Amino acid sequence: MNNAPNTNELQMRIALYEDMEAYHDLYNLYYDNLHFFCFSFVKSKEVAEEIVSDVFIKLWQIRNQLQEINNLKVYLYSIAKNFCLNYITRHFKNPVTSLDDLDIEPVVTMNNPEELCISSDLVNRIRQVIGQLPPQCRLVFQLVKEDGMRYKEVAEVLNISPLTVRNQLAIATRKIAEVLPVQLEIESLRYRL
Amino acid sequence: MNEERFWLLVSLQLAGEATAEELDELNRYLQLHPEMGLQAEIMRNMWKKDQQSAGDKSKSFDRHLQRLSSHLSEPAMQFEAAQVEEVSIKRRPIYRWLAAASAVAAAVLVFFLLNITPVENKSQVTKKSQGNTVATKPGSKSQITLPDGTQVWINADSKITYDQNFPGKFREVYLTGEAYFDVVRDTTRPFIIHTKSIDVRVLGTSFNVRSYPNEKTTETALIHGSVEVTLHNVPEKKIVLRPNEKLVINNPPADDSMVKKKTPVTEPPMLMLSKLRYNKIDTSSSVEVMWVKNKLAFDNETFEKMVTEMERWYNVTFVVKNEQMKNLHFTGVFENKSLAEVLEALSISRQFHYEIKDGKVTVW
Repeated sequence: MNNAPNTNELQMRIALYEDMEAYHDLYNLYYDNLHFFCFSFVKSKEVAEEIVSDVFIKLWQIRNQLQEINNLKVYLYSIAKNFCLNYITRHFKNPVTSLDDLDIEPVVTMNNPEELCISSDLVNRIRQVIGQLPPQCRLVFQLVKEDGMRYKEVAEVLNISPLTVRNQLAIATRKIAEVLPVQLEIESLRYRL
Repeated sequence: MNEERFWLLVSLQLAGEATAEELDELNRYLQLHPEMGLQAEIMRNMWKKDQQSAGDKSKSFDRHLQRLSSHLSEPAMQFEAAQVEEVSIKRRPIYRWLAAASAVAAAVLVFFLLNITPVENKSQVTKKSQGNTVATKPGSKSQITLPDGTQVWINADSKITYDQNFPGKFREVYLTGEAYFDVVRDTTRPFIIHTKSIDVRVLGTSFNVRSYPNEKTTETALIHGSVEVTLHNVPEKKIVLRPNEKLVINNPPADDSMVKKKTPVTEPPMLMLSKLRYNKIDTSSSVEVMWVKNKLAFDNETFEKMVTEMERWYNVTFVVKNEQMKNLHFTGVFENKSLAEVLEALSISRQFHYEIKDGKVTVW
């Protein structure tokens, strides 16, 4: 089995050969994360799926200029964000002026909390903290942690400065840390740190 | 260092954005304040994600394709190239690789799901009362001028039939195989090409129609002007081509009883509207019409398809012993080259053996 397809290669194959298989692979590669991302905005799985579909429709429509896009990942997320904001504006009538006006549903995954010696209680508290972060801060956290974006990429998608991204991530990290235990319970000491 | 700075450093590390100095600073702080270590470690572990498996999202992709097809079949949804400017675009002229293309190409992909039931094979009609037929054999091409002055280049193993005088309201020809038309403009009499599955209607333009009986698809490629394509079974759905676009249609299978799909029998074949392809090196004409200039051209073509093309071009038969070869892809343009020269060039790029003997080519 081949290595996981690489975005740049897929981008090229779609642009030069209109390669449907590459298009399919690209869809598979980004679907989950884009879906989560959109879900944060529109809070409906069906709508999120439709928006991801719209993003890929757009991508196919401009497939012949695809090679001119520097960072396809940023492009996909930016388009997704715009579509989400359009959707929100259409459905809730108030124009969205700032991301902080939005109610962003936090979508954060946590690996095997049992391995981390955190109780499900703590997991809930962490989710709560994330849920209480200001919306833009929450988005920043999500894009860096879940979507693996660099600060510059997040900055482009959200239309803010990389410095803001850096600071907001620091704030999010600190707030989460505030609910983390300083000491382990004795019986969990069998885990290496 | 205060705690705020500490978490900034931790967040930089987690995001992979910390500089070497920042990492050093973080480590030194941890050494001095080991009690912070646990929280930092938990954060680190929490941060790790399972490798995102590009698992199969086939159901959602299928739904997506449905939306793609219906979305793009509406004429209003033609996005202009300028919209790409939105995000992260390098400043480059958009069509610089389309050096020779004369017309602006808006690439539109249309999947039409249509009902195609077997159609009376019009192209079988070879003898009308004053009908003329021009046919070519494998290995030869021809060029003719029709009564109205229209020029037609006919590719190998093809046939054109038309009425000597072009009577009536239309100028009509029947085509099997492949031909390139340079139609004289006459707005009073539309020019119509009938093939087995589609009709192509033009006003005055140059384009290519490819409808070989043993091929899975029928193609119409437009160079200049505009044409309107009608499918025999869905006459109300007309597709208008613009320059540098081509239309590819899946021909219905010869034997309908073989159509066994999981979808209902009414599930139609596909029709695809896309852009003409240009070879990166020889951009003088699109790949689809290079044959008119006697250039044999392949654009990322599978060997299997190329074999059919070469059989026709050179009037030989191929025996491909190595099944895997059929899926190899080749790109190239051959002008005035013999079969041996072409095979020699291809065999160098992909390491295969061949032997030409008595009009039969064996490849392994």
